[in-house]
Formats: sequence, structure tokens, C-alpha cells
Amino acid sequence: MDLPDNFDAREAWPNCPTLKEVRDQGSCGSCWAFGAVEAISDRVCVHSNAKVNVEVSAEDLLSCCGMECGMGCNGGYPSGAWKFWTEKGLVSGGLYDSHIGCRPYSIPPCEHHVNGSRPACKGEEGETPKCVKQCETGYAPDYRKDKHFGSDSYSVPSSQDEIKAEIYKNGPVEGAFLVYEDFPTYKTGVYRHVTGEEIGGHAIKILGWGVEDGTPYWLCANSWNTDWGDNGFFKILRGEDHCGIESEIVAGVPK
Amino acid sequence: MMTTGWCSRAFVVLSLLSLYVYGQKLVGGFQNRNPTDEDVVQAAKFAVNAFNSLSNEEYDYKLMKIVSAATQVIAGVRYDLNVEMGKTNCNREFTYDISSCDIIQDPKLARTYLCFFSVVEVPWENQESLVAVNCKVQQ
Repeated sequence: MDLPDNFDAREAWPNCPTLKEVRDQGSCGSCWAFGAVEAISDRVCVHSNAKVNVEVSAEDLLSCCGMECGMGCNGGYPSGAWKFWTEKGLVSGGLYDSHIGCRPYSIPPCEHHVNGSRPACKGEEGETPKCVKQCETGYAPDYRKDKHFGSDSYSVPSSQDEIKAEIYKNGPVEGAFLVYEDFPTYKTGVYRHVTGEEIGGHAIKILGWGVEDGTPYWLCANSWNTDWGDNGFFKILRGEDHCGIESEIVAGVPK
Repeated sequence: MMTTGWCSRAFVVLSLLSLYVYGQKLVGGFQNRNPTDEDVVQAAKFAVNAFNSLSNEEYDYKLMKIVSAATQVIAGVRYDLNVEMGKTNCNREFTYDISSCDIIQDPKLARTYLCFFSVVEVPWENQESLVAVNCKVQQ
């Protein structure tokens, strides 16, 4: 396959609006669910030639997957998330308080621009929401009828070309990497870990690649709202498994 | 014979399955941290300070020891800390700099708290908050 030097899924599939969306996981360790549903939403659109547009519910995955996905708000497994999509399907559901879809996200974004001792985040205990097999009041389709299924889920080998080919052909993938202290303060450019201790593992969506000022990068969407980083997106060093970014790629195809 | 074959095969499949799932790295989970790491110490100091400003105690408390610490990536960073803190001779109303306060040694007046603190930092918003507190008297 002939792969371009630069690729941005937002430009390749301009009629798929979820590609441009940035979500917010709030005060919950649900990155594994966000990386998955963001990429799945994009793939449903790409696969249908932009005929099916749906925001796949992070809430449904986070709350209903159970042990296969790990521990909900206390962390999870991207591979389990994609597998759940093929086995049990996922309903629609938008951002917190959006009233879009069957099960919108129930954990609010951390309150911004608040100083002092008031909690930054509601749901501060980081409790996993309950698995409610029912759509929000006012959403017409039945919960079971609203399920979207994947036909297959798989790990992508940790080679640049395999990852690129997967994104180029089927749309964004989910990736995971180690977050160090210097990542949360990223603004623009290509992120490369330089200072600080390791904070923990994190999952994101990878939607493209390119080269900036001679530095190869992966283009990623984070789930920390649009006021983080480069309007919610970031670039990270590509080609040397930096922070493990190339070693935990998972994806799947819609039914 | 057939049952045994099916069983062992099922067992192999199940073991592979759990390897497949659990061989993956958990993301979004807690990671144990070294209590001497700079960011951990900073978060603990912030927590004790926030505790002092929220509490009804007459005297300020001071960080003695970080017993254990763990961090989690959320939309920001969560620090879960178990710390020991001691009552100082500084009256809350007049404390300007906690580092100049001494922990009371007189056993009749001394008091040590063992506290669980959860601190959430959103560095790109310059925001830090104490979101959970659970303290008990140690002595």
C-alpha cells in the first residue's frame, strides 16, 4: 500500500463530524472507554460512507462492560472495550448533559476556573456509573435496538506502516501510552517526554500522522476537553515507540 | 473422552482469553508512587494546607510523613495520599508560614492525624483541589 507522508483523518473524511470532536472524561479513569468509542464512532461513519453518523456512548461501555474491560473508573483494557463492541454492541450517547443519544455521559467535566478549596470535579470519588440498560427519557429507540455492533476487533502490530495502513484504510485507532509529568502541560508542537515522573497509563485516539519541522509524529485526540493542548488534540513523537505509543494499538471493524 | 477433550480445550481457550485481556496494560488506573517524588510531596503539602483552611481546629497541622501515594490519569491528575500530620504550636489565625511552626512534642498536648487525601490537579487550568478527606487520630 502506498501511504502518504502526512495524513489527517479529519481531512480524508470531511463528512464524518465525530472526527473533529473532543470529549471530556471528567474525574474518572475512563480513557480506555473514550479512546475506543471515539474511534468506533469515526469508523461507523467511515465504513458507511458517511451515511451513519452516531456518537457511540462512552457511558454504555464504561458502565456495562464489567470485568472484561477492567475496573471502570479505576482503569481498563482497550482490547476488552473493542471486544465488548463486537459481542454486546454499544448504544449511542453524547457528551455530559447533551441529551444526545440513548445514554449520554453522566460524569460532568471538571469545573474550570475555580480557585481555592472548592472541589474541581464532581463525582470526586471517581465512582463508575451504573449499567442502566435503558435509554434516557425522551430518546425514542429502544435500548436493545440502539446497539451498534462491531464484526471484528484486533490488535495492530507495533510497526509504523501497519498502524498507518490501518488508519488509512479503516479510520482512527485506539492507542495507549505512559503519561509523565510534562504531558498535561502540553500546548502545541510534537510532544516528547523530557522531564518528570511517570504518573500512569493513558489511552487516546490516533487519527493521523505527519512530519513537523523534521520530526515525525502521530496526530491524536485526547479526552480532556478542548481547552487542553492544541484544541484538545496533540502530536506525539512517531517511530521509536515513544512512551509505548506504538505498542498497544487496537481497532476493529463495524458490522 | 469427548467431555474431557472439550473441557481441556475450553480451559486452554479460557486461559488464552484471560492472557489476552489481562496481558494488556491497564490504562487509567492507579500507579504506586515514591513518597519522596517532588510532585507527590507538593500535592501532600497542598492537601495539608487545604485541610488547615477547611478545618475548625484552633491550631494548624503540619505534614510529618507521606506513608503511601498513588497517582491516576483522569482529565488531569489524581493523587491519592496517606499521610501523617501533627498538631503545631501555631494558632490558625496567626500562621503565615507553616514551615516556621513546630510540631508539639508534649505528649499531653500532641496530636497526630493519619489522613487519606485525594487531590485533583488540572495543570493546564492552574487548578488544584482537595476532593476527599478522611482523617483519624493516630494516638
